Amino acid sequence: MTQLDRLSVYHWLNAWCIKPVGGALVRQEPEYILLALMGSPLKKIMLCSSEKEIFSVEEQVMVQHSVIINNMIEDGSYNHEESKIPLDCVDSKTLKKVIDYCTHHTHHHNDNQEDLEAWDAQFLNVDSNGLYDLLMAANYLEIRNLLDLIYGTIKNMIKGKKIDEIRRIFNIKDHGFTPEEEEQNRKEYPHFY
Amino acid sequence: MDIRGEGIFPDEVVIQILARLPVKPLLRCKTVCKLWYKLLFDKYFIQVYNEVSRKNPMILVEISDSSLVSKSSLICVDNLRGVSEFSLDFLNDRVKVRASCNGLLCCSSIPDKGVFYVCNPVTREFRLLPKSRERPVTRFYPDGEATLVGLACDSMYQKFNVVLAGCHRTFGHRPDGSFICLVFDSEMNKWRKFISFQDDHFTHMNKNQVVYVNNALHWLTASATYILVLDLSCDVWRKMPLPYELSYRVGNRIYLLDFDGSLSVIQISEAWMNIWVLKDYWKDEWCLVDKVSLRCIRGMVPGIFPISQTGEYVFLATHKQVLVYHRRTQVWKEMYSVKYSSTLPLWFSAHAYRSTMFSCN
Repeated sequence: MTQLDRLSVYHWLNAWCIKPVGGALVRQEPEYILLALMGSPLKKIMLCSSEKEIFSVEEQVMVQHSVIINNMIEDGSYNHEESKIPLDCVDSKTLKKVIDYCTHHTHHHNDNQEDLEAWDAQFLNVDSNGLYDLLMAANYLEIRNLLDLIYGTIKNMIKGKKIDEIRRIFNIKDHGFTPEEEEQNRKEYPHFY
Repeated sequence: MDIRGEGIFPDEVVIQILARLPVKPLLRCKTVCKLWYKLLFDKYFIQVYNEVSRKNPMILVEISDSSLVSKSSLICVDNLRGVSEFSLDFLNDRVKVRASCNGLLCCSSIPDKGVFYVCNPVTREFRLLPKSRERPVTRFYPDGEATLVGLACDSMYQKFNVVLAGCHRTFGHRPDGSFICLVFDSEMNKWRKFISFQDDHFTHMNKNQVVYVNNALHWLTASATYILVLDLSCDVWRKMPLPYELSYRVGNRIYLLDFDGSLSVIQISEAWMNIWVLKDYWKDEWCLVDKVSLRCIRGMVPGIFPISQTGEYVFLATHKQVLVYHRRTQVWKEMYSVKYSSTLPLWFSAHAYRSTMFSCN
C-alpha cells in the first residue's frame, strides 16, 4: 500500500472507528486497526529535546504540520533506522505539547470547527512562560496553524492594553525614543499610557 | 494569561502579530518603541499586512440614527475583528463614501459638491483631488452628481485612478446621450476627459458595486444583460457578457462583486444563491463555483444583498443586519444588527473593503 493510500484509509477509519466499551461509545485508535489489517506499524520518527529526551511520534503527523521536519524527511537527511531529529532549542515540556497539538489536529481534522476551536483554547491555557516557549518552538519548526493560533492569541492580548503593559509583555526594556519623543507621545496620546 | 518570558521576540514574529491587529491598536503600537515605529513604514511589514488583509474581507457600512438628524457614522464589519467603528474625521469634512478599492476610499464632500478625496483610513493619509477645470459636476444629469464613481487602485505600482462619469446636459436641454468620462491619474495628479455615447441606466446598487480587475472598472447595468467595462489603459468603454445561463433567466437578482481578484457575479433567486466567477477574463469563461441554499435565511431573501466576498466568505447586508456566510462549513452568522430604527437600509451605503497600508500620496 502506498503512503497516500494508507493515509486515506487512516482518515476513513478515524471517522468510523467507534466501538462500544462498557456501555459507552469509544473511538478505537485507528492505528491499531490498521496494524491488525495490514500487519505493519505506521512509520514513526524520533524527536530529541534539548534535555536529550527522546519522543517517538508518527511520521505523518509531524510531516503534515512542520515544514522543517517535512523538508528533512523529503530531502533524505533523516534515516529511519538509526537517526533522531535533534531539537536543541525546544525543551521536553514544550516538545510534548507541540507533539500533542500536531497529533490531535491530524487525528481530529474532520471534527467540526467549534470542537476544534474549543480544544485549541484549552490547549493554550498554559502558564506564563509556556506560551512564549510554544511560540518559539512553533516558529522554529514552522508549524503554520499553531503559529497562526498563537499570533491570534497574542494580538488579542495586546489589543486593549496600555503602552507600558505592551512593553512588559514583549520584554521591551529600552523603547529607543529620545526623552523628548517619549514626552511628546505621552502628551499627544495620554489615553495610551 | 501573560507571556512574561525573559526572551526576545524575533522581528518576524512581531511583524506577524502586528499585521493581525485592527487599525486602532495598530496605530497605538507606533508609540511602544522606536523599532515598532519604524516597522509600520517598512515595505516588508506592509506586504505582510496586506497579505493578512487579503484573506479577511470586510464591509463598510454607514449607519444613520434617525433620532439624530445629521449624525451618521461608519462601521467596519469583518470576520477576524468583528464590528469596529471607523472614522474619517482626519479629512476634516463631512463626506460620503463613493467607492472603495484595495484599501483606499474615494469620498465626496457633502457640503462642497465636486470636492473629492482619496484616503486610506488605516494610515490616515489622504489626497484632496484637484478640481478639474471643466467644473463637470454641475453639468451632470440628473442630480448634478456624477452617475458613476469608480476607484481603481493598482497596489503593485502604487497608483490609482478616479473615474467620474455621467451624462451631459447643456443648460435648458434634455440629455443628449453623450457620456462624459473624467479620469484622474494619481501619478500626473491631473484629470483627463473623454466622451462616448450610450444610454445605459444604472440602479443604485449597480453604482455602488464597481469592481476593479485587470486595469479596468466594471459595472452592471440596470437591465443586467451585460457588464459595462471601462478599460483604463486606453480609455475605452466596452461590454462583457454575463454567464450564458444568467442572461436568459428572468426574475433573479444579479450583483457584481470581486472574488479574490477575479470578477464574480452573484445570482439570488428565491431559494438559492449562485456564485459565478470569471475564470478566464480574456475568453469570457464563467464558472459556477458554488450553489448556496438560502433555506436558513428564507425570510430575509427578498431584502438581502451580497456586498463583499472572498473564496471563503460572503458578506451580505439587509435593511438592518450584516450577515456572513462561511462556504466551507456552510454556516450563516449574523455579524451586526442595527438597534434603533434607521432611515436608510444598511445595504444602501455598504461597500466592500479591505484594510491595507497602500499609500495615496
